[in-house]
Amino acid sequence: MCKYCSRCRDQFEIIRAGSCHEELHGKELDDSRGLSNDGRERLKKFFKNHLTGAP
Amino acid sequence: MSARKSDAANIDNPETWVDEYGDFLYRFALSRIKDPSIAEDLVQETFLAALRARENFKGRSAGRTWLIAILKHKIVDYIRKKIREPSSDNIETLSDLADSDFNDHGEWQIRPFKWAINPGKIYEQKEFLDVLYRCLAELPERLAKAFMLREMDGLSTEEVCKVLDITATNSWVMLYRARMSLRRCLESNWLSAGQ
Repeated sequence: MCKYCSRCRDQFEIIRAGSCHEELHGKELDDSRGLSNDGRERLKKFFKNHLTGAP
Repeated sequence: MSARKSDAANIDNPETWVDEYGDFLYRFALSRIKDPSIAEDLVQETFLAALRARENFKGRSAGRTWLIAILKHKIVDYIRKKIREPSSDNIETLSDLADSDFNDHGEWQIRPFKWAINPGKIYEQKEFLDVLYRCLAELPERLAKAFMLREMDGLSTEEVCKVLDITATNSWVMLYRARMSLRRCLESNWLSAGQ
């Protein structure tokens, strides 16, 4: 394989790594951040309404 | 109960999703989008899409992985809409870039650079990941879809063909074009910005 084709293959591997593993992404995440209380309540309400068929 | 079974059980109980997966999905969205309220909206859209597609969850991957894959599609959709807005920061678009990577003699027109990234430590490359998502959003929609189904969702070629209603040959061509377009976009927008 030519030098540049080999580089291209390595680039594909890096792109694939950046795309596929949430565990890898997970390591860059800030554990101190989470849903706001309002956001959590909104989501729970959304679920409740959705699952019970309420408007 | 094994972790996989427990996770599958969680997916069977949407009432638990907010507590089980909400924070992780939110952090993931926030790491790409930066705007807390939009990140929350994307988490809600992800849960809604997951509710609708729940029967397709076959337990082949962890529930969290399945939800993250859906969220990634939502993030790319959001960025795609945003970069179509006139006020959006410009990224050098794929259509601006040379169409062919090779000249008439089959030689590289623009030789690929060596990217100083260890794929196993890709999470350290925040700027790279930001540009990758923006480049994904710049791909023609079907190319992006083919790439994301294959690489983010982990579907087999056969499954990708079924979802997109294309032949295996078409899928390979589309995936090749998507990868080549992404590498060109990254070289133009990430590498040139100073990796």
